[in-house]
Amino acid sequence: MSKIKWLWSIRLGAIALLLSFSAMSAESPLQINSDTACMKCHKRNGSMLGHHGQDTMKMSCSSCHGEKGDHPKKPNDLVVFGLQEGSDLDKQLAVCRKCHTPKKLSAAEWTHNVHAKKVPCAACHKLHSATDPMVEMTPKVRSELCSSCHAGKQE
Amino acid sequence: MENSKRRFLKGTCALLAGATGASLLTTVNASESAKAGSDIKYAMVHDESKCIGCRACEVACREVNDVPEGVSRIQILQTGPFGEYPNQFYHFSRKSCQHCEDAPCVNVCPTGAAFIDKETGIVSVNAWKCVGCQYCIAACPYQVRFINPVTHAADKCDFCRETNLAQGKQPACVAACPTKALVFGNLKDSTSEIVQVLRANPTQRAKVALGTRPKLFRILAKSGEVVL
Amino acid sequence: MSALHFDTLVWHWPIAIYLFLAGVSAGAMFFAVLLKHFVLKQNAYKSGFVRAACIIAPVAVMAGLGILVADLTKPLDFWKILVFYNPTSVMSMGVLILLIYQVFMFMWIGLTFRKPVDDWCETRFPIVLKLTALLARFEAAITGLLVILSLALGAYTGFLLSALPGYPMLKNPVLPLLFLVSGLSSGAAAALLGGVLMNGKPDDKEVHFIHKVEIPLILVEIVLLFTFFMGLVLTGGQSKVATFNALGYGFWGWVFWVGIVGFGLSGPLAMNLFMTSTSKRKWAYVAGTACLSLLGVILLRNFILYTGQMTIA
Repeated sequence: MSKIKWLWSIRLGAIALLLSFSAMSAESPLQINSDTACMKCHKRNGSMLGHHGQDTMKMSCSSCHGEKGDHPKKPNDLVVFGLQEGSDLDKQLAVCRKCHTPKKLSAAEWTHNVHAKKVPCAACHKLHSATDPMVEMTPKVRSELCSSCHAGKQE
Repeated sequence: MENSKRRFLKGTCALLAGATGASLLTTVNASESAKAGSDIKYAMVHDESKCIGCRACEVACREVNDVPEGVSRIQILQTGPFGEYPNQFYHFSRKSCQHCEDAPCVNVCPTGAAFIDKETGIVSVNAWKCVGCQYCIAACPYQVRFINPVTHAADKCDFCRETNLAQGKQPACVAACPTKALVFGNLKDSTSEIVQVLRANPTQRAKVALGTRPKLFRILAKSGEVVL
Repeated sequence: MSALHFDTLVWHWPIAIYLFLAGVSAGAMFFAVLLKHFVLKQNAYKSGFVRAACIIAPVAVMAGLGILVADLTKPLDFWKILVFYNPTSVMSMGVLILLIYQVFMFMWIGLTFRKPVDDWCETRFPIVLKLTALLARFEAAITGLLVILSLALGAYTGFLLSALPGYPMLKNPVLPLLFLVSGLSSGAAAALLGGVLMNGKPDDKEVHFIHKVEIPLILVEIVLLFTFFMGLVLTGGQSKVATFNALGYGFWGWVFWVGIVGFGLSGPLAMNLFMTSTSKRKWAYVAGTACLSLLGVILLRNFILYTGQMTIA
């Protein structure tokens, strides 16, 4: 009897250990999210889980968004990414193009060529979420993305 | 012996003449009735200057007509890029059934499974009658026919004759096109949008030299490569 | 683009084999009729060569049909081809010709072997004698129609391909003639090969007769082949492109120049001329020549089918 109890406790213990381990790996605090200067305030915006946040890339918030400067007290040079409420188009594009050359972009996907210097990358790409919605799109989602801008236009 | 030979020759000649006459008569009759029949003749225009290559038409066609993965009734073919970075562009053209007036697929089909619908002029397939000899696939100069892996019958675009059109809607590709690059309509109705578009624009059809008289028109994009 | 797999390829080698077998059957029947009519008369049934032709013709045409049916995507629905007809379809009309051809083929075979058939049935099935007597009354008509039908069948194998407007090399008026002539010569070769295998003597008058017909047949075939490609080149455009694609370097170029022109046409022509002039006919000579002819025709069917589909309009 006692032997069975004993075995059960080992089993439960093992399961608990595994569970705690998987919970830990799900949170997996990336280095970039412990950037105290930014995360003090921006915790409410959620954390950076995307490809660019992985530790081996050694990137910080400022790698893309620029140095903090007088933010948030005075007008500043921080880059905001997005189609409608983002910074100037050229400013946004310049950040991405530091690493992503037109040649590589062209090789990866033809739509880069026709949108180059017309819309910011963030119009389609979302870098903070764990997976970029542009990765592994179904044909249907892809065509809907096109028509979200092109619909009704007569170009 | 001489006599029997002569009789045989006479008989053969009469037989041949009769058979030829009969088959000619049926062919002539068929084309006559098609001409007189209906006041609908559907056609389509693909305005390549408006097409952005989003392939919403391909997606919609697959959904509406239940086309299995791996085959397709419509494909958007892409060429390019043209021009210099950052002002590059592509050219898109539609590959799908041209709904020929004189359709090679219909002419060669041994069972009549490939047919032209007399009411609408749409080239269509009776999947039940099809035995899968693939003669139509070889005969089509536009390479738009395929064997449907589910039905094992020849398949292709039928302007949604059995789906959207039967429900009084526009073909799926036309309804899905965000830039209105596709216009579908009745050539015999002079007030229809398609007739207006055809009158207002120079259009082209593919491989007209073959005498197939296709009903898929294209408005060429002004920009793009000059193909010799 | 590989020689045997490419995007515009719709019909594969089974179709070429079918076309070959239909041609062999038509040619074998054609030569059997000629042999009986011009050489053997009432003794035709005693000849090993006529016997061989009368076995080869039905077996080949049925094997061909079997391959055709097996190649359908819905083989079990093949009966629909026999029920529904389309007067504008070469295939539909060809199936009709094939069926009528088979009826006349069996009637003619029955007539040719009337004596042994009658002898065998006399005591067992006396009714059959009435049937053969009835057939015999229409012998001239049956023979004449069989010749016409076998020629039609041979030409049909070419028309089947020349009705494809999307392939400029196949859409060619010379193709049915070319296939008819090469089909006839393959039938002659099959009858010779079968004949010598069935103890026909290589120096029989049948062999002399067939060889005499075969020489002009091969010459006509060479002329037709030349006209075929010359016509394509002079048509220009994609037809010209198709010709150079087919005859140029590469797998099919080798097949054409070495296999068809070399082994299939020049070889048998030289052997036939040699055998006619020296009047030496050995078993190996006749069989070897026939094999070369058959090889050439199989290669020609495959060559035309594949290279024809390589270039589109």
